[in-house]
Amino acid sequence: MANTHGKTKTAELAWMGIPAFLLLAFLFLVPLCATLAKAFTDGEGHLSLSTLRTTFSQPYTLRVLGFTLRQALYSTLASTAIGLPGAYLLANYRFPGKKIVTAVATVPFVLPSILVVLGFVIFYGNNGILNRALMVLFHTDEPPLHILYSLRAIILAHAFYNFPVIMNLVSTYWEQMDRHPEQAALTLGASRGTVFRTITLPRLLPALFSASTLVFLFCYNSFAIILVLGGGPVYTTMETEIYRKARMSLDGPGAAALALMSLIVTITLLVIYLALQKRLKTQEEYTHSVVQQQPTSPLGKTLIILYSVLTAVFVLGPIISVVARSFTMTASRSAPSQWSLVWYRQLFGIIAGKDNMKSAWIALQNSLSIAVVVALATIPASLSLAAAAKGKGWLPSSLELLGMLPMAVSSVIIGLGYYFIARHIHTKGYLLVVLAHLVIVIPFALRSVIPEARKIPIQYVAAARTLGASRLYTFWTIEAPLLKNSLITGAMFAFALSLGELNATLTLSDSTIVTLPIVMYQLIGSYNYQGACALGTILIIASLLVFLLTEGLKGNRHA
Amino acid sequence: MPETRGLDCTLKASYPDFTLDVSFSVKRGELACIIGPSGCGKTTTLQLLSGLIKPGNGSSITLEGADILHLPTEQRQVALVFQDYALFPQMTVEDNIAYPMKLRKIPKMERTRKVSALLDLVSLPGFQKRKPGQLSGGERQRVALARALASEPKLLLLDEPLSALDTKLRKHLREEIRRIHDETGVTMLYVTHDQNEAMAIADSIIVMNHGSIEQIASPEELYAHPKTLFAATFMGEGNTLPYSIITQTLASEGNDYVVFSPKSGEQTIFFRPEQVTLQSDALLPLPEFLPHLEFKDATLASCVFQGSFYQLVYHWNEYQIMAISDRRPKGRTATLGVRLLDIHQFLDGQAVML
Repeated sequence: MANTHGKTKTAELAWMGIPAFLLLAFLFLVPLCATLAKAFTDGEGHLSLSTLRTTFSQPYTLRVLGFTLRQALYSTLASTAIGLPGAYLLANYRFPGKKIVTAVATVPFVLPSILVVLGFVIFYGNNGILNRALMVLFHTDEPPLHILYSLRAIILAHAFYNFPVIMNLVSTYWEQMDRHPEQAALTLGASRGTVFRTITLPRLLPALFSASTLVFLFCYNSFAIILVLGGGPVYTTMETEIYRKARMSLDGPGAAALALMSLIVTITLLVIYLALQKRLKTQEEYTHSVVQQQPTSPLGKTLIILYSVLTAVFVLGPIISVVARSFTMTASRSAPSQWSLVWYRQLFGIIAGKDNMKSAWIALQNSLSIAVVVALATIPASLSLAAAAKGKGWLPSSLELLGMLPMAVSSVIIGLGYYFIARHIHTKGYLLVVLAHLVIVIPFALRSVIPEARKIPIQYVAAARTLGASRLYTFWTIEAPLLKNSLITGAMFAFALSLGELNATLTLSDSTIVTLPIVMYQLIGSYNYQGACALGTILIIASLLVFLLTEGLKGNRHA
Repeated sequence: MPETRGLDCTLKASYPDFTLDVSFSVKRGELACIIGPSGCGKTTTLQLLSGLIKPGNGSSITLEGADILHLPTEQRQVALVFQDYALFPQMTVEDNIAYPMKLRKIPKMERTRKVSALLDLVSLPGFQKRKPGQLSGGERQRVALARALASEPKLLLLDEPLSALDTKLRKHLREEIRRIHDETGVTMLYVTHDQNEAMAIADSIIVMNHGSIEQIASPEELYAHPKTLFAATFMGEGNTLPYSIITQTLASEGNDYVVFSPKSGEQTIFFRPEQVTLQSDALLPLPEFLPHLEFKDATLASCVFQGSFYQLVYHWNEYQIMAISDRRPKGRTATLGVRLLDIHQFLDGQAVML
């Protein structure tokens, strides 16, 4: 560093990242290393490559990997096919109810996947609401749709879950695209179709690829949907196989080897995603001057109405079914269902629950406590990382990377790491669940906080310092208050995510640990859908509250 | 007399594509302007003075006799008004202005009183509870100024404070800044790229170009006696012509007046439009015995009415000559005269004394 003249002093707060760094290193890297180390041992715990060799060369493993990639590809295509028209409508038109469509489309995104599965089964199942409606409509006694427990069901559920990702990311990008090239092409004599094909689509591709890669990653790592809808060894993916190997076959090293293999794939995908993101940032200069118009042609109007209605049915149908079903009970298999509050009375401990409902009341208390602790813990952690990651240079950016890294690792793998650790230190209980949840939610909290921290103009800091404030004082009085909303948003997301977390919890915990999603999973497994729906309704309410509160905070931005 | 010492500094900074090397003083209580084209190092100078960037080797900054070079920004007592004001958006006007006073542990009563006094000073009485988002550009500017003054700085830096405002407001606010300066007596260093702004308010002007200082002088001195061709052309309109023109146009008795012995290097002459006489229109054309240049048969290319005068552009051979007149010229052609006394000569951009 011979010549550092004229360098702006921005990295001064890098030391503030140290606590968060230590926390993440301890909570994330230790379990991950425990998993990876396990992959290099044999059944007796000796150092060996035999587990890796057998796992990687087994035809069964390769078939599982192949199926995982295949279902993720189909799901991504389906999500894109549904999401892209929506992105077009949202980006180009103003229409009544547009806000509602956007809001409705965000719903699946904030719902836990176990809830999505439940809603799916209730809505699309053979005895589901859609089939019953069609049976009444067409006067048949046979359910016309046989969707469940097939590849089709998995893809449809994934599409339901992920099309909003495509729609939101692409439409945001599209909305901000400068329209002058399109207008220029029109004046040069290109038809609207040609303009879309030759100008708009190529410009959209980076956003489309970026969003698709993200969806592919989500579908690759999907767990609850596969576990419930896949059902058997035919429809098993890497994630469910890791879980099954570790917890059903009790083959720790084998599960670890699979985890290693899965990690290689997801990290490759993530690298692609990040590269596309970078291109996205440099490629287009944003303008905000696009004037959106009401659709004028009858075709446009029809499309908008059709899309809005389908979105509502497709998305809200399953959710409303869950809520509705939770208020019913069936006395016996053949008896018609009737309105009842029995599941809520069991859930809130008013009357003793039967079978799996026995632990519902405890599970509710557990889940809420865990989620509150996790949400509160993310605030100092993300504030510390945001302060440190604000500057430029290798230290801040590597801290940010570390904060985001847990996203590259599926929650099943994180759960697996904690499972291995738990067996070593003989700690049972909820501490491990809290720690695992914390690792999983921190990247999401950071995604809310770090961009906001970056938005704070460096002049604010410079101004405060010329007025006599120290760097730390400046952070507390200027930057931290500006980050307040994003910290609360981050914490609320953390709360919602923790409340619905199934993957890691199921993988790491033994039967003494009960949370809402675990009990829901058990209830679905024993076909007590109505009880599961009562628990699901609690999750829906929590997610809805979080969603409304964060949306409320969004409007409250500084100038 | 240490109490009259203001700022003395030598600032050096090197970047891959730019080197700053300046040395200047500002007297205590003076309003100095740094002026120069964009990219000349004005803003870098302010950032170095406020300690927001690290200085290069050989730099020194003393403020009122104390060495502040190695002090962190917050201990320098150098306030900076930012080009985009940098008001803290989450705080009210009052909280913004009180911010530096809280840092100095001034009691609340005192703070309230001072905020209100400062708001009076910047002509925004009663604005305490507003948020920055509710203010116009000019109002934000005044709040930023009040906030900077609230830190009771020994030196107040202003980085193109008016550049985001419209012309009329700019003119008004620069008078305001001068008034506030005179009322508070704070030493000010004001950066601008607008020479009119500098000439209107500065006690002294520092002309910068390519990271170094061209000239430091009072506005009048700078206008009348520019030391470099850059300073001459940057401070107002002027005609820059090659030196060789003199031999073609020199009109004096006997024609033996030796102007300047030619040396190697690029030689130019420079004169202001108001120093050009329209020989044909003038009541008293320049007489033979007064050495002057004569541009015969110059043709009028444009004549723009400016209210109190006409701005004229003449073509003479391949050159353009700007002139002003209080009347519209009669013919399309004229003979233009310039006294030799009014001509500045430059060799490679540096002034040469006649």
